[in-house]
Amino acid sequence: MTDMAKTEATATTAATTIMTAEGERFRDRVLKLAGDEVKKCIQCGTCSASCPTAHLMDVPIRKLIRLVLEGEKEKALSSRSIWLCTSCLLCTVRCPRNIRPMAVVAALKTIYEEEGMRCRDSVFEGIFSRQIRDYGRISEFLLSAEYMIRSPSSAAQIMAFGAELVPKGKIELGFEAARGERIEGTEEVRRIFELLGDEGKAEAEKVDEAAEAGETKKAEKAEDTKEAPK
Amino acid sequence: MKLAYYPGCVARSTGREYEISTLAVCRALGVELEEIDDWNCCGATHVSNEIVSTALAARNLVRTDLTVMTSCSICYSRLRAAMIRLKDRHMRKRVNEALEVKYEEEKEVSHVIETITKALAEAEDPDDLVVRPLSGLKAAPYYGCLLTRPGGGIDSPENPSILENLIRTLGAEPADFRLKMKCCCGPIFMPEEEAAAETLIRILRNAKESGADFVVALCPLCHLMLDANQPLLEKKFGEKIDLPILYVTQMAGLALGLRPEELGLDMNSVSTRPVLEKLEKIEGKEAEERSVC
Repeated sequence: MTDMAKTEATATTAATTIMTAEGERFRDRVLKLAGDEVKKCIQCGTCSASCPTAHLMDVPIRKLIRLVLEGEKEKALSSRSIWLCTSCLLCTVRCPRNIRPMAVVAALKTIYEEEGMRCRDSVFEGIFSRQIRDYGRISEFLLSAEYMIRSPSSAAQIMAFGAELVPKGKIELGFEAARGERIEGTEEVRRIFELLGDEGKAEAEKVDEAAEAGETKKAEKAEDTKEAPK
Repeated sequence: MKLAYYPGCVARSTGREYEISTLAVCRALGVELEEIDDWNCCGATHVSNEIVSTALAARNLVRTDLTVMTSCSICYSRLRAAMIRLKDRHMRKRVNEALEVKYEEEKEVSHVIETITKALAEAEDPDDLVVRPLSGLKAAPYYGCLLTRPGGGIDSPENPSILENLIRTLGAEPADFRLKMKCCCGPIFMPEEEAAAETLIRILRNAKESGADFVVALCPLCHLMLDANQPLLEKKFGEKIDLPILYVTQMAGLALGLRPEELGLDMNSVSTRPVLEKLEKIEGKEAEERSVC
């Protein structure tokens, strides 16, 4: 990190009271997932102004980034905004500081899951990921069926869509379809999730244990920041 | 031209007519496609862990030495985003820990609209290929988000023109479609239907007001939102839209002289008949005028 970025990051967070240790860990985890450059945010609001679902959000994306930098873990994770992001990437192509706001949202989703939090949107993402992990590909029939079971209020919408698509031969019903199409390389795909995805979970647990033991993890954190992908 | 083909999951279900027309158009243009062996889902917009999604994309990219072509804008964007991430040494190292075939050298990916545009531009006489110009038809170019994002790709992520140019090359007229870049909200449709519906009806109304005979879609999720969802939106908002949504490959296929059944045009939810009938009527009139002369 350059000195300039450091000064700016300090300026951004200066207004807040002293960050809790948990808040600091949260902030570092997001920076590790979404890139250290998030610290360079000048709160210009270009991301919020570009967002197609900003009008529906309780916390605009600009503010979400501030919450992250201030270590406001609970406020950031409980915001509905992270589930209203359509991943359109307009914020990311426009950010004058070359931050990827969408990556911040993705990081928050990842942490949300790591923390064991649940909502209907995270349930959908969970089903989606698990299907790739088990089969290598997505079967829209299986995806809809499982989501409908886990989130019964979605049944009417899914059935209406099915009524459009099934007669066109676009969604196959029956045993074969329900079993899903399994690729040869499912072992490799499973490894991708376990080796690379669960690492975050393990790390989060490790940090929690360390916190409980009252250890300071300054050295490790410095290492994490250094390794964060540019 | 020989390309590696990455269908993506939707090509085998709700976007079946996109795959049918993609294969037919490539055949007609002399583009040879070789499907990537044992490809996996790209993760779309639902795998939030970036290292995992990058590795999922990388597993597909390492399975070929050819340029990878896909017709899905989401897959296309995911593959491109992964390639950008994989420029980072640390990311590449971590991803390779999980991969059987390692990601070593940079790959090339292209979207089917690029393939069509390029094949027509390289033809000695494009008129030999465009045997049935779509003159008299007005098409609303719907880009959606991910064809041009992340930036630095085939066209401007703010105001691209590749689709308008193709529409003109095929003999049709591009409509002035103000919401051509407006996100369809497809990725949040399942859990957040209400939010998506408001945006979708605005896009459809705007396309209708532009005087277009049909909308051209480049992404199977955009297509699903505007086509299969259209009857549901009509019911919800109590208004008639009746606007056919053609995949870019269905539009190109017509101009290349392919038959509607070769392009899966009967598989769209909103009937594509009005488009075909208008085209036949215009051609009939032209033939009549010629015989009078």
